[in-house]
Amino acid sequence: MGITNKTPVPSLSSLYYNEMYDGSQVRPHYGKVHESISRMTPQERVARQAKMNGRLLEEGITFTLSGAGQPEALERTIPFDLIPRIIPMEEWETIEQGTKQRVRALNAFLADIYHEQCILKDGLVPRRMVMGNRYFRTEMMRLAAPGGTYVTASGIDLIRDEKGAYYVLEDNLRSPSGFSYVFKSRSILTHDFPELMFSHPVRGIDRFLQEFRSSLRNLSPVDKAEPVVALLTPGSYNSAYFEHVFLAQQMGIELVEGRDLVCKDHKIYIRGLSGLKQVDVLYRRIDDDYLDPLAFRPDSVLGVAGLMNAYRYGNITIANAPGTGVADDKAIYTFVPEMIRYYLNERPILSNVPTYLMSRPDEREHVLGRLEEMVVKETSLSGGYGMLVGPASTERERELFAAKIRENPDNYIAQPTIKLSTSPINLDGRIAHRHIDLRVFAVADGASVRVLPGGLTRVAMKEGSLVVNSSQGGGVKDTWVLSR
Amino acid sequence: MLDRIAECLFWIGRYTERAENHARLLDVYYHLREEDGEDAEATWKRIAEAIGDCALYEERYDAYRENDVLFFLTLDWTQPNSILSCVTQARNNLKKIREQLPAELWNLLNGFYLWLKNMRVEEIVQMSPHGFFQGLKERLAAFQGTAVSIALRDESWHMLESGRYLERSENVVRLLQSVGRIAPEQRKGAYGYTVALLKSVGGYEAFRRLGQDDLTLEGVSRFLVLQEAFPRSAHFSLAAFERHLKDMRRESDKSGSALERTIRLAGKARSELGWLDRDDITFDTLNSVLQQLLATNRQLGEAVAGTFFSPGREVTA
Repeated sequence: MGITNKTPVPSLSSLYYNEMYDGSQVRPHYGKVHESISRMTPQERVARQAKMNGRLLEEGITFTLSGAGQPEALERTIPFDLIPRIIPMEEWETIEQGTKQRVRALNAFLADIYHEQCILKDGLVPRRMVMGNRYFRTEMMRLAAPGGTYVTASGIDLIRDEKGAYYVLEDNLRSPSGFSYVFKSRSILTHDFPELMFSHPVRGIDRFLQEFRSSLRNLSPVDKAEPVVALLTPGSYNSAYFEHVFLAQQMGIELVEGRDLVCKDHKIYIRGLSGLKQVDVLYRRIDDDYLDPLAFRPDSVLGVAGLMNAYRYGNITIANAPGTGVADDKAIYTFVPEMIRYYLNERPILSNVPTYLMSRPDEREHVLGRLEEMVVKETSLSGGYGMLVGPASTERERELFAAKIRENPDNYIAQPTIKLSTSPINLDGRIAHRHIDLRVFAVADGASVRVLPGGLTRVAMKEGSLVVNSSQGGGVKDTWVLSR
Repeated sequence: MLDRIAECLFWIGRYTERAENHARLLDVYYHLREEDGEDAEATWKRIAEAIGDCALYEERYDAYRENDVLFFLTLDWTQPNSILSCVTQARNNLKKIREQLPAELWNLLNGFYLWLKNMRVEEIVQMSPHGFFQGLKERLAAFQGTAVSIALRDESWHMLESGRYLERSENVVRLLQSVGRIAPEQRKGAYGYTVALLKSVGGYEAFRRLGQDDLTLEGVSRFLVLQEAFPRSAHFSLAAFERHLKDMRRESDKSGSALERTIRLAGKARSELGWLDRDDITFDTLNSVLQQLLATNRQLGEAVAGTFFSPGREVTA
């Protein structure tokens, strides 16, 4: 008796890679999980799930949606699925090495374009794509970033094609979020499904917080025994506030808002009851635009006036550094494999999803000839805006989009319709199959890159949907990396 | 510690304490009615008066009925003094500064808040109000006990506790003021009422253990104001409040005159209680003693606000 008795493995299985099933066979690393889940009755699965949901709510693992006319902002929990996602040791080895390689290359790229610009001079990346990018910060030109680290915390999104090969879908290099969900998912599964957890050799994740903390401390501009590290949050009304609290508390760093900080003599201080305390490293979770009203948006109340000057004087480290957005742009993404060869002289371990640049005439014509199979994205937008999904579009929409592409080819890229692997989830006690992706987290300081074993598996809770974002109702799974 | 954090901590202390006082008082008052013969409406009115604002109640309801009064005092989030309002305030303050206290405390308080928020009056009546109030007290005790057990004894702890004790001393006074309102001719015979008062603060056994047998409103008032060994007396609360302020002075290198003034003020209030003789508290003087205490409490609250949480104030090293 197996899961398949309740719901047949969907016929999609040939189109998409199923994490648990190989045809009708259960993949060996999922054997025990499959057995445990199949043994439970639907009622048991519902009860177990309800208990976990209750814990999510109680621990306040929520993101906030503000709604008008509410006595208080709506607090939603992320749908959490009790069936874990399992990554075998050898697969993880590739992902980890590939992520480290990518993060090193991206940091090298940022250091280069904000200094010598060799990659532009050598013509590997078109100059206008970098200099004309809205996330390029001229303020950062020739400023030394401590340890050459521009990107401290990064989240690399991976998907799998129908054969199970991993591809990088995008790099998140500004202020990636989702760390807290990884830790909370693990804590919930450990406490509320211990028999499942303890029957597997799952790699622990707690050490990552320690590594994150030391990476931040290592970035301190001065060699202090106890550098002061602070996390800059937009405040308790921000949708990711829970994550900010979690990280600050777990790493033992200060949690501050812009109004708690003051700039004096080009140094940044926390205003406390017992006087001022100088901040050495600021892990910011607000966008570049809001960091400093004197340097960027003058109407920002979230940042600190004078922060950029303090940074220029070398009195504080900002992590991630301002201006990293230029490297996670959708068009620049295309060049990451090139960067790996250029800066590291290595063969890229993780592949990109094939991407066509509309600024290249031959690629443009290739895409325009088969728009109905393509996903076209505007390079500077994210979150599903300014996008054409070929298979779901009408003739008329495609014509209009083709005109837009011809008019401004630099602004667009195209990818074949992406494939996401599927995984079984528990849906009201039944087993259903949904698309998932994987966000792999890495932290870097000058010396090394560390990768969180596992990462965040996001689930598109709607049938057939490929959208996994939590703002669109996406859920999460605990992600296990096996240690043998 | 930041100003806004100090403010939140202080209010978490105050609101959790206030919720506990309300739960204790309602539990006892609710069950008191079985003993005397007043009509139902008067009973519910007395209960509503204990912690609520009767004018607000009468604006909304045409009569005092059990379910309405219970809802008004416990679950009505539009009534600023209801238990749900207190718990919500405490929880929202903690939400803003979650990283300052152990995560276990947040889980407890948030779990409590979710439980209470989803409670309905019908359920309370069905499961017995005593069970409900018991549940409230136990959840608050779990929060407080966990804090005592694991919270770091730094500035934030002292801020939290000073909020708690200032609130407690104010609640004792308000409780006794409600005694002062009883008509003189009823006072002598109000034995049940007196015992209820003592029980509501959990002080009946303590009162007995100290060998006091003056179980009159006068005697109980003296006990609740002056008894420094009893943790819910005004004297004890003010002494604890003063101690936490002093600890805060030691923790921080802040030697501002504002903090000194606040500490002196608390010390003065505490020592004045220490000087009071048992004969100084009688029916005739009770009210003025209480007025005096209430004014002191207000002054202390303002002093704390002025010292610790003036928003946007520039602090120089």
